[in-house]
Amino acid sequence: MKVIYKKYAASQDIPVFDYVTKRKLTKYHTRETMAAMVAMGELYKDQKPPADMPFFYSTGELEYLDYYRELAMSFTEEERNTPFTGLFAVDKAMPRMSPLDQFKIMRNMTQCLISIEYGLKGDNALFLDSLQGLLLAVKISDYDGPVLIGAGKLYSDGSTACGFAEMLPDELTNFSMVSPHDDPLVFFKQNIQ
Amino acid sequence: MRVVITGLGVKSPLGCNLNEVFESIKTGKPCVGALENIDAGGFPMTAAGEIRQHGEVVKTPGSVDRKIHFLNLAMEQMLAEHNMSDKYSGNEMLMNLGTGLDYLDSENYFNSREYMKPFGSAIDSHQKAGRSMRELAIKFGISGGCNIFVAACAASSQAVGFSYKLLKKSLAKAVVTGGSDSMTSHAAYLGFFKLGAMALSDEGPATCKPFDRYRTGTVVGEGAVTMTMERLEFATPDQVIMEVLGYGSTADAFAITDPDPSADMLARSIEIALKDAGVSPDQIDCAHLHGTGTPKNAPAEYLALKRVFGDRVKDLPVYSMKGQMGHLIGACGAMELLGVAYSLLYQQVPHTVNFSESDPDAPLYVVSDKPLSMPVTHVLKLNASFGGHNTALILKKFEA
Repeated sequence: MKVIYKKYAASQDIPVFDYVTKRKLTKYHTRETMAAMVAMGELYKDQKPPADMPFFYSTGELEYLDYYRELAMSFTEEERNTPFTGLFAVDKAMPRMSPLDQFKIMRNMTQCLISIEYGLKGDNALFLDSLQGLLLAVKISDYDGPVLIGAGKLYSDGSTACGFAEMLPDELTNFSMVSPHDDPLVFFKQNIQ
Repeated sequence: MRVVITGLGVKSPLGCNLNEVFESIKTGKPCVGALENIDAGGFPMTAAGEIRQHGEVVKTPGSVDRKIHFLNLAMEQMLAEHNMSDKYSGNEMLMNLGTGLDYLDSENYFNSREYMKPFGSAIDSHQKAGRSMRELAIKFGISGGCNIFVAACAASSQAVGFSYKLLKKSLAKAVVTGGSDSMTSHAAYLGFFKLGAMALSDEGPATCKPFDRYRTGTVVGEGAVTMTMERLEFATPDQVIMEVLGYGSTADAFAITDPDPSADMLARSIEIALKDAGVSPDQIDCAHLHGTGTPKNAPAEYLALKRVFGDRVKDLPVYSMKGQMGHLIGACGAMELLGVAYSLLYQQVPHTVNFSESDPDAPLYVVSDKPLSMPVTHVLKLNASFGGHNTALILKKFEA
């Protein structure tokens, strides 16, 4: 059993291109997705997990305000002095929204892109900041083999962290436990090998 | 271990209590209209399924995150009729809910120039769904855990399926599950519009036409549905609404938005759910499908059913609630379980609103014009999402 945990500062490059085969999809990557791709690459090296392996992921509260902040800061002073209305949203805000950002704002994109990269088609669910969800998912698994669990988060200071592990229900007791109500990334960080 | 649903709370475009919802399903009255709760002047389209009480849209100020506001009301409604704390301690109860994006009060954010605040400042206009939902769990005395599911349109059906498995494996005694979402804010509505999945209309609000040959896309909406799920051994039999018999979930691992056109993994989710339920395809009486009204959804659901049910697909009645109320995204699976409850309680398959002409590429047996009366014991409920999550639930008419 192996646990991978990665953390990158805001200014740090994430070497995602060393770990993905579907490079066209990197345009949809947030930094959380990039960190997740690297962590998965480290977990599996040149191997590939079975397609039917269950995969449960916990994502952090999305700091998507960055997208709106960027949008608002691009307004002229005249536009900033215009009261917000539906028409203003359509005429001034919507054209400035990048179509790629639409996908980056969707919470399930990291899990989706990992599934596509590794061909993971088994039992799955996506949680919001829930270590309990991940651990219960391992416990209730009907799968004859380990369950893949992962967690990632974008922090408001621009840093990002991600962790992954393969886990069998029986192995839960071997791990350093934290409170199920804790941040799932604490679990991966504490159990990194 | 038998698992049952015993209590329901609802705030939705179809109504704000169970009787109102069932009456709306029975009559098929349209519950989609032009957006009323926000200023949608200049919007390229305005159709939405907003929460209605007695047929009128329930309005709230822009500072209110509607998915949390109505979730709170749905919880209060459900727990008033079905007090869980009489039977279970706080630690014995979990809350597993599906939801969508965080809420941004765009008007206040821009007009008060909150975007000028230093990076990392508290932003009043931004309300995080996770924090708000966890606060509700505490408010209602649920301290066994609060797990929030966010896999887009499959979020609440994942929450329900996961809850069922926890109870079945005796890892919980009672779970409050369901989902709450609202796509009727400026940011959510226009963001979804930009994804290109919304229905088109030359005049008037567009309509969502699930399975129809001339469907053009979906219409978004909002709603909050909560349900109490218990192990039968702890449940009061006369409170049981339906039994949860099986759950399957898979991923397409195909594309970020489109479903896999082969529908292999959607079919696989049904097969897993049937096996889990211990029933054969022949025992399924009708299927309540995801039915978004998008061009690619109907052929995928048809192929999945054809693979599982074979030639019987042409005789298997199917239904989608989205024609009547729109797509509730993070709450759709939970809301659509009320359609399943309707089928099991009233022995009818509801008619899919706005369906009129069969699609040669998806020749499903869509019940239209009026509900179809027939014996209904087992129902298949299917959901799928952007990102390729598929869920299948098998529900059964309760027999003690």
